[in-house]
Amino acid sequence: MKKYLLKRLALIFLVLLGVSVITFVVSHVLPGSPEAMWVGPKPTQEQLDAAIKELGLDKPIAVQYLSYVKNMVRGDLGISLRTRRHVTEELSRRWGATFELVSFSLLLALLIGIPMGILSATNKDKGLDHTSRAVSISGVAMPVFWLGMILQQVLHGQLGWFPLQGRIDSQILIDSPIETISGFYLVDSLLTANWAAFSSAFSHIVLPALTLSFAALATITRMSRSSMLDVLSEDYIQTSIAYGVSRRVLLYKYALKNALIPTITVVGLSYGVMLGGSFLVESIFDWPGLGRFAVLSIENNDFPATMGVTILFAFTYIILNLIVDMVYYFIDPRIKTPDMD
Amino acid sequence: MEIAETVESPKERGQLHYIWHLVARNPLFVIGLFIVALLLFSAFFAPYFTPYPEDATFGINFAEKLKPPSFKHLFGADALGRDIFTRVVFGARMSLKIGIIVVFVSMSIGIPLGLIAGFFGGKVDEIIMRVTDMFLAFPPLLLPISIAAALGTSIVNTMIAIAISWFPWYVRLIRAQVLTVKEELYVESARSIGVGRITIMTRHIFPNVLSPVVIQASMDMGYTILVAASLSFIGLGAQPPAVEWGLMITSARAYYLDFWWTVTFPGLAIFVSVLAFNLVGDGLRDILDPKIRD
Amino acid sequence: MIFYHPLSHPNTDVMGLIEIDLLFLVDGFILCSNQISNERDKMAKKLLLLFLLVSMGFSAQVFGAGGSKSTLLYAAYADIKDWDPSIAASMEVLMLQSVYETLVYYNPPGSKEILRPGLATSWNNSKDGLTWTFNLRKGVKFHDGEPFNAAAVKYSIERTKKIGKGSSWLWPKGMVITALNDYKVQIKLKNPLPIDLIASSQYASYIFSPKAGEKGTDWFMQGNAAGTGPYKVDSWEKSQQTVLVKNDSYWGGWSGKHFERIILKPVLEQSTQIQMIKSGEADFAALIPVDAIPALKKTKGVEVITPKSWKNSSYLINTQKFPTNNLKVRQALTYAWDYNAVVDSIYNGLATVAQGPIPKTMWGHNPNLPKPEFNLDKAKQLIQESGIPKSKLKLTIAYIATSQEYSNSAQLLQANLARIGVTLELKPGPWGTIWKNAKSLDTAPNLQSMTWWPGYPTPNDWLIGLFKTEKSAVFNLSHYSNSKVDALVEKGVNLEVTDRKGAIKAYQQAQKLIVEDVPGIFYADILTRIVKRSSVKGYTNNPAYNYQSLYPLYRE
Repeated sequence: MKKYLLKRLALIFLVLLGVSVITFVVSHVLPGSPEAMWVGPKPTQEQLDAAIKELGLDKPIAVQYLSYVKNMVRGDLGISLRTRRHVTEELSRRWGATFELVSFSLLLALLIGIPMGILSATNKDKGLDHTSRAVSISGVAMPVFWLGMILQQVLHGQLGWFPLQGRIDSQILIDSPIETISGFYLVDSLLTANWAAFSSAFSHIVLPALTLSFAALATITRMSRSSMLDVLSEDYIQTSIAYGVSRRVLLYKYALKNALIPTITVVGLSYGVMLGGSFLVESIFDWPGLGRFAVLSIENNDFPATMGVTILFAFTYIILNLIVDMVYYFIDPRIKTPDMD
Repeated sequence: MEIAETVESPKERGQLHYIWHLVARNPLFVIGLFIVALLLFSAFFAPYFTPYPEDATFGINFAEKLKPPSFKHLFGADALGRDIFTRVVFGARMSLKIGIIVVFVSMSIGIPLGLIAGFFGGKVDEIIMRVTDMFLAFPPLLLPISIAAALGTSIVNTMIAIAISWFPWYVRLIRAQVLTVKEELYVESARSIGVGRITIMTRHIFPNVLSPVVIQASMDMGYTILVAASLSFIGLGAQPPAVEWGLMITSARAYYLDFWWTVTFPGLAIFVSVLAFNLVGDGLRDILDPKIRD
Repeated sequence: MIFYHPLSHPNTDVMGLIEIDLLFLVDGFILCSNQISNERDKMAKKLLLLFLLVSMGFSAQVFGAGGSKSTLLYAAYADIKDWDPSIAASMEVLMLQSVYETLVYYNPPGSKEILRPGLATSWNNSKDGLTWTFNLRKGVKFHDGEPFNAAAVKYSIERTKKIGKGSSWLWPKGMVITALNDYKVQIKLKNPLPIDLIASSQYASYIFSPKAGEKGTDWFMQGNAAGTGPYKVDSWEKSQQTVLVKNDSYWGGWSGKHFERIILKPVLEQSTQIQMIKSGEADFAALIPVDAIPALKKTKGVEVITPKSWKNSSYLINTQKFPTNNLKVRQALTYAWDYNAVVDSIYNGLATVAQGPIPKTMWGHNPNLPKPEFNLDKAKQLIQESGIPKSKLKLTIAYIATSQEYSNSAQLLQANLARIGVTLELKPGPWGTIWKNAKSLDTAPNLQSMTWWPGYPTPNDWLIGLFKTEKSAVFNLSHYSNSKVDALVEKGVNLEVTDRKGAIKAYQQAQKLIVEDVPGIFYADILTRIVKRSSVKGYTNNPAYNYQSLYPLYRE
């Protein structure tokens, strides 16, 4: 087991290196002018030339890459050309926002999806089943940005139930600011008993989370339903029913447990999908997170920022997949993926 | 006649009868097929049944600017006075084109690589899998966005960007299938008789890994349409005057609150198309792989 | 996306820790009390949770600062990037104009005087325009407590010039600044320049505390400021909002009605800005798209003002790239542009048809330039006269992708050109990319979008910035070179201070020559769009400033 873990970690390092090379090449092939962003809107030729030297853009690309890696090892990811701050600072500041959003969305997807899938399976072909199947089929087909715009229009524009954008109310930030403990508004405000901030942060996260989680919710519902159905039709379940074991005990002791196993695969995948979806959702809802930062960086050829955010995203995703694999292994040591030898 | 020929995989006989049975029992699959057929029809015959075919290219008419849905304009008009219904129908061309090309290219790269990795194993497998892992380490959308931004905004570059980020999935999928099939009896017997490796790969393994590929390809058509629309939404995909659903939404993004039709109908088109392909993929899975059922 | 993962799950009775937790979670959720559940109960519990979610959102509704007499909320289109007043050259002006001050201010059109006192109470210059003297206001302090005096002015301007970033090029090389006494500053130049106008600029002319300046750009970049203005920076929640509060010891005093607190909130989605201004959550919206303006004009509680500005938009034509290096082709393009349709239907009346490279609102504009005309027949004729075969008439046009105005105008031009047999390919993109391509001839397009406004009020900003001969193009993206024009512009620059009439003559002659060479389709003088709540009063328009100090504003 330990050997496997070490091997995986070594592989992660290798993969991240590969990711960095790919991203570096991609962002330097970019036909933009990073020096233009560095100097500002109306520069002179002298300012441009000075900027090129300052940014090291006149050196060959391999040299640039090597110096980037050297700095990265020391913890310096460069300075964002667009915001003029250290990339590490930008990333750490926004990571909390995105991570909170994605985690909350995943939680939402699990809390709604699993019960819905199970209820669907136990009430096969009844009304609830049809509804949940409709949701799970349409969920993955829905363009995320379109859904976000519609939710904004309906749940804010027409009904006024939820705020329009942002992470928290402006007034709250001034009057009862949240002490930064973890960087997650919901957690920190609870820990410091800052109820005003908590309710504001909560109401602000609902719409973006609903939008982001919808596809994952659909998949999880579907997965739960299908694996529950499979398990319910197994012989030992049928036998137990024949023997008079209570339905509820059956449901929870045997069926649920087995049904949840394939759902775990989907969790890892859904998290990745949501990380990708965060680009779109954060833009629509003005969520100050990594997703929006990534889009703005890429669009503006801000290559230090692009490199930083891409590597961070990739790293998060890989670690998550590793965790999922570990969870799998603990649940059933007999399950071995082809890599695990 | 080689002995290998007689060792059939358990799928040949009674297949058609079985398929018909399944189709009849699977109305969603039929609906999906119907919508896909509608899309194909729209793509091919758009100029003939749309009311303002010139609006798909240069039909600018300021008198109709941003008019709401009416009998004259079923889906309303956009900021340049063009009929949205016509443009939504023409948009099917772009979406289908992108979908087919991307899936085809991904498969052309991914399948051979997966076959090679799964079949030969060893060092070759290791290398291919590590490279694949690098591509798969990117959360979905991140790589297409970066590549599209690097290559520049155009439809061709969008297709390249999505294909590059997608082919690794085929490698993984095929490889996993190959590994499973490799152990099956008929392959063993074929090898024991001395049938060549390439022959085994193409004649025996490939046809049996085909079914998940077909299912995946169908799902991917939908997925590609979504990604392409997302790229256009960010501004990195198709550019005017191309008629593409994601582009239509992003052009109207700023003022859609006052003019909801500019965004709702293209969005519905995306939704319905992706749904259709997913339904078809689901149905195919039910037919081709009865072990795993929804 | 559904990724099918073939997985076989053998039955197992092993209960791992994780499973117990998961079980617990789901179990607890479905039975939130100790009752035995049946299907209906589960449903009910689920609905209850949903209801709680919704009602929490309901009760947590706090709609910003809307309607408050003491707080103003400004929906900006980006977060503040450059906090250093020596470097800032973009939308930071929104914050800078309320936190820092300049020596003098340019007055709105129709005023008796061109300039009004700011941190300087009076000023004069020598006849030859080489020596400028400013008498400074007494009794003013910076936000960090340091005194405002001549030494601070000298320090601020010299630091800006030394750092050399942003719009520091507004200040000339080789100027000598002397503090004659605590409240008198003298600037000596090598060549005559309107220092009074430069000192009024929204870029590169702010006076800040030398003590703060010594702390360096990094200190500013953390969200610190030390100016003399009516507002101080209270807090900066990065990417979310900047809060300014009243500077109690402001030299202008606080009699009359003013806001005590200002929130600058970056809202990047245009549709969100529209919703915020409609609901009153925002008092100003900086990023309203052209197509939303007609509806907003009719919205109760919202006021839309569209004053004239010094901004203009054009499509620069590449004079050195085939086929636009042919004069007749360029002329044909100017006849193929539908000026009225663009201004009326694409800009929704938020622009007027331009006349030449300089907006009509700027002094020195030549009113005798030929009026642009949309005439496809003439365009077709000119194309034929050019002698270039139809197969070679393929042009490219580049513009900033996010601008609907550019995009729609380009599509209109494309449609019209198609009617006369010319193919136009659209190449939109982000500014960094298209600018880089436009600068070198092998990647440059035939037509390039350009919106321009001056650093300080002078026609030479356009004439030099866009049309001066450049060895390697910076903004002269038509790659235009005319030595006669260069000479005329240089003459005008030298006469600006001492002989304005002569300068105007030279500039007008230069415009005439430029228009004859057709290095661009000059199509729009842009009207500023100010979208605000009608309850906010005290706003006056001023084309010299993209943003002005928020001090005069108050709520009725």
